[in-house]
Amino acid sequence: MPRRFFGRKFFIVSVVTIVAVCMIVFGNPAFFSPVRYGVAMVLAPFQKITFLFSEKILSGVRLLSSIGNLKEENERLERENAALRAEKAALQDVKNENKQLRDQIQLLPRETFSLIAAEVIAPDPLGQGNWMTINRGTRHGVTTGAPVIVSGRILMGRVHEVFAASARVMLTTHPESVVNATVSDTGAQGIVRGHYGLGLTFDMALQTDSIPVGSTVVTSHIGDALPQGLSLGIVQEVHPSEDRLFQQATLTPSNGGMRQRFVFVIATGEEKK
Amino acid sequence: MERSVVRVVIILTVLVVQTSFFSALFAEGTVPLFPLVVVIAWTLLLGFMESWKWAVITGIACDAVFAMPMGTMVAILTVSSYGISFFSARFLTTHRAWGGALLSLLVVLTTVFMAQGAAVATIVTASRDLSSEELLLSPFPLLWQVLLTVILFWVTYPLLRRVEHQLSFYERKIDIKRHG
Repeated sequence: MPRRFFGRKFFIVSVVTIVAVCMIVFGNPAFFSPVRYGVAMVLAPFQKITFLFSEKILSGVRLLSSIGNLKEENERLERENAALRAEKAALQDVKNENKQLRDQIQLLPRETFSLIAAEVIAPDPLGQGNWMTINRGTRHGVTTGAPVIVSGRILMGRVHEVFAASARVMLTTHPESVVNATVSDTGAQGIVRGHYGLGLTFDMALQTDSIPVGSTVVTSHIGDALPQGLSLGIVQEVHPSEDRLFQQATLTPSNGGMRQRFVFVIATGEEKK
Repeated sequence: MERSVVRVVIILTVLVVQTSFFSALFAEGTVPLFPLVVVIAWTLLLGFMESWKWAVITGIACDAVFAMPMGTMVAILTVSSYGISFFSARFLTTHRAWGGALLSLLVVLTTVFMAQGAAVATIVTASRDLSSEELLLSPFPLLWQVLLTVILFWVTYPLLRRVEHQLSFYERKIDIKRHG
């Protein structure tokens, strides 16, 4: 009896598993693109509806849970508001000075991205914060490799796959994601890598460089794939690499994980004049 | 034919709910695994010989939508289906409480297997070296994911059982011929 049970079922599961493993290891991702494209086309309209529904539920839950904290939150926001007003006043001076200097050397403003607004219709299905699907695709001018940002200068990730009316974005926290980066305060150069379910790591920084805890890591000028100065994360902890040749830092991602509803795709190769 | 259409609709619905509802509603790392729940339910209701085809179809659809390396979810869901069939045939009892507890345990094991398998497949196919800390998922979110998946299973299983029961009822055809 056990032999019979093992026989046919075990044969089926073995064959399916071997074929699947071969597909994972040796398969050409482009071969399955039509399948991905077809499924994405079918699901995209429904995903948008269910995502909006989930947002409504979430906002209801948040409202209920925040009622108790409203007073405390209000006081904190008032303090923060006062600090920001002071900071704004200080920055205004710097801005004017910056503008004058830019005018003098005839430099174009830095924040001149051509942006495509997009709505998130599906975060990472397995909840690891590695992917998101947006409702803009080839029809709207989205191209593979285009940077995706939020709140002006925070990098979410890059477009990995584009369909007609949707696109899949690989977030900076994905293990495949590697971005040239620099510590904004000290100018220490390195790369930012994603870690599966663990956030971001600033790596390959020289031992002699300074990486203060709490400083912001931004995209660097090295490589032309991404605009310079997009925020990636805040330094949480600094430690030497396993081989002791470099420094590594654990970062808290600036993008707030997959809880974004609206993002912007930077149209690559286009800059507003 | 009707069965296949209904099951395809179920798979598509599950994918929509998983990708844009559960993943938005639950925190990172705690999202319940709806496709796994449906495959487990089908294995228990239909047996492995019928359910493995649907595990493969669900796996292909999941790989397409989840941006996983193609074949990952196919392997995970088929092995999970086999595991459920293997252990349920040997250990499930007619005693309601023990049966339910054992079934929950099987759901727990397959959830850990799927979550861990997906992590390993992503890292193995990544174009850089593995690190041991990345291979193991954080235990706390995983615990929540397991708990939510078990709850989802006990909500979904009776519904799917009803659907399959209805489908088998409608498939019983009676041919009435007129004589004379």
